[in-house]
Amino acid sequence: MRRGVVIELEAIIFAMLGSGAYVAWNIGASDTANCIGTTVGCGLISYRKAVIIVAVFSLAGTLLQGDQVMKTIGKGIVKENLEYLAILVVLICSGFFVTLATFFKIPVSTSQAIVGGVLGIGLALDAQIEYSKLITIAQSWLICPVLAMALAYGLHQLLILLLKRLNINPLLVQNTIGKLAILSVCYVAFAMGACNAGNAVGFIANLNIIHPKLLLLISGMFISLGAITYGKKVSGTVGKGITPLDLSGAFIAQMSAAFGMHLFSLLGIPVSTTSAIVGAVVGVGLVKGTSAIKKKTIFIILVGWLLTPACAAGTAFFIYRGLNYILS
Amino acid sequence: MLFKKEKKVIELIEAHANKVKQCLELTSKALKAFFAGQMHSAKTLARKTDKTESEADLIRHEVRNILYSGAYMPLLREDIYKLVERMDAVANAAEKCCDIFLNQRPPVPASMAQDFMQIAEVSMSIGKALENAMLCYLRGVCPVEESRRLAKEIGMIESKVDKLEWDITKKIFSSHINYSLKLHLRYCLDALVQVSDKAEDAADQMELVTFKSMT
Repeated sequence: MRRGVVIELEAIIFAMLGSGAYVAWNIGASDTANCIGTTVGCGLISYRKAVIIVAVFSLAGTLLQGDQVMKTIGKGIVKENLEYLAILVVLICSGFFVTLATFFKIPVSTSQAIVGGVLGIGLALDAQIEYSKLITIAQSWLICPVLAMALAYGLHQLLILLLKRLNINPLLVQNTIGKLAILSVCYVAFAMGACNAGNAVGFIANLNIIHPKLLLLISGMFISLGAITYGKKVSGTVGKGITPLDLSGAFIAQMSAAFGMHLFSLLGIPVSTTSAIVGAVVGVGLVKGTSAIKKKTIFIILVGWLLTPACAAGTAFFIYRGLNYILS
Repeated sequence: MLFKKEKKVIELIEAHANKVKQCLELTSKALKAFFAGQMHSAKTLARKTDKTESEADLIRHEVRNILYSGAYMPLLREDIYKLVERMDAVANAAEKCCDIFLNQRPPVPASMAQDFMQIAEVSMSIGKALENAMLCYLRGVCPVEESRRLAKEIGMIESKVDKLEWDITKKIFSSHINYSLKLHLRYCLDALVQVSDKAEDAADQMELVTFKSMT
C-alpha cells in the first residue's frame, strides 16, 4: 500500500474515532445528569461521588450490553453502509446540537439527534430508508416516557400506601430507600451505558476497521469523561427543574426510568435516557398533582426533543449535500 | 443484625424523650413544693431534675456519636440530631426554671402565686405530649396524620401558656409592687414560658421530619 494511502486511512480512522468520542462525550455531558440529577437534587449524594458511580457503571453497561443498540444504529435505519464522510457528518451534526442544548441546560436526547442525523444522511444519499424501523424508534420515544411516567406514578402511589399500612419506623424506611436510590443510580448508569454507547460508535463498527469491543471501550471512557467534565449543567434541570423530589420520589423515578430504558435496550431500540427520566420524574410529580409540575420546563424539554432530531436531520442533509458538491 | 446502629439510635431517642418528660415532671413537682413553701423538698426535686437533665445530655452525646459513626444517611442524620438537640433544649429550660426559682427565690405575692402555679403546671405538662408525639412517630405505629396531630397538640398547649403569660404579665405590671420586683417576676415568668416555647420548637422540627420522611 502506498504511504499516502496509509496516511489518508489513518487520518480517516482518527477523524472517525474523534467524532465518535465527541458524541460519547456529549452522551456523558447530557445524559449522565439524567442518571444522577434526582439523587443529587434531593441531596442524597454529592455530585462528585455520583459521577464516579456513573463512570464505573456506564462503562460496565457499555462493555456488557452496548452491542445490541450498536447493531441497530449501524444497520437498522439506512439500508446501506454509510461511507466515511457521511458518518463524520452524522456524528458531528448530532453532537453539535446536543452540545448546544447542554450549554443552555436543556436535557435533550443524543439518541434522537443521532437517528435524526442518520435520516438526514439517508435522504441526502437517496438511500433506501427503513421507515418501519424509524417508526418503531419514534414510537419508542413516545412510549418510553409514557411507560416510565405511568410506572413511576403507580409505584409511588404503591409506596405511599405501603408506608401507611406498615408499622415501620419511618426513619428506617427512608434510610433504606436512600440506599436503594444509590443502587438505582448504579442501575440507571448501567442501562445508560448499554443503551447509548452504541449511538457513538455504531457506524464506525460497521466499517469493520476496529474491533467492536475496543470501540465500546472508547465510547464508555468518553461517556465517563463527559459526565465528569460537563455533566453538572443539566443535572439541576432534571433534579429540581421539573418538580421538587424527596428521597422516595427520587428512588421511584430512577427505578422506573431504568426499567423503561433497559426494556428497550434489550429489544435493540435506541431510547433516550432523557425521555425516560423526564417521564418518570413527571410521574412522581403527578402524585402530588399537576400543580407540582413546572410546565414551562416541560414545554422547553418537549421543544428540545422535537427540534434536536429535526435540526440534526436538516443540518446533516444540507452539509452532506454541500460537501459532496464541493468535493465532486 | 440489619440496621443495628439505626435501631440503637431510635432506642436512644426514645430514652431521651423519656428523660425530657421526667425532667419536666420533676420541675413541676419542685415548683409546686416551692410555692407551697416546702423548700427542702423543692431543693431535693430540683437536684433530681439536674441529674435527669445530665442523663439526657449523656444520651444526646451517645446519639451524636452513633449518628456520626455512620448510622443513617448524611441527608437524614442532620435532621435526626437537630430533633434530639431541640428536645434537649426543653430539658435545659426546665432545669433553668428550677435554678431560677430555687436560687433567686422570688417573693411571689400571694395574689399571684396561684397564677404562677397554674402556668408552671400547664407549661410542664407539655413533656408528656412531646413524648407521645415522639413515640408515635419513631415507632411508626401511628398514621402520619396522627403524628402531625400530636405535634399540633403541643402547639395548642404552648398557645395556652402564652395566653396565661399575657394575663400574668398584665397582672404583674398593674399591681402596686415595686418595679424591681415586677421585673424579677417577669423574668421568672419568662423562664416558665421558655419550656413550652422550646417544646414547640421541638414539635416543629418533628413535624418537619415527618414531612420529609412520611410521604
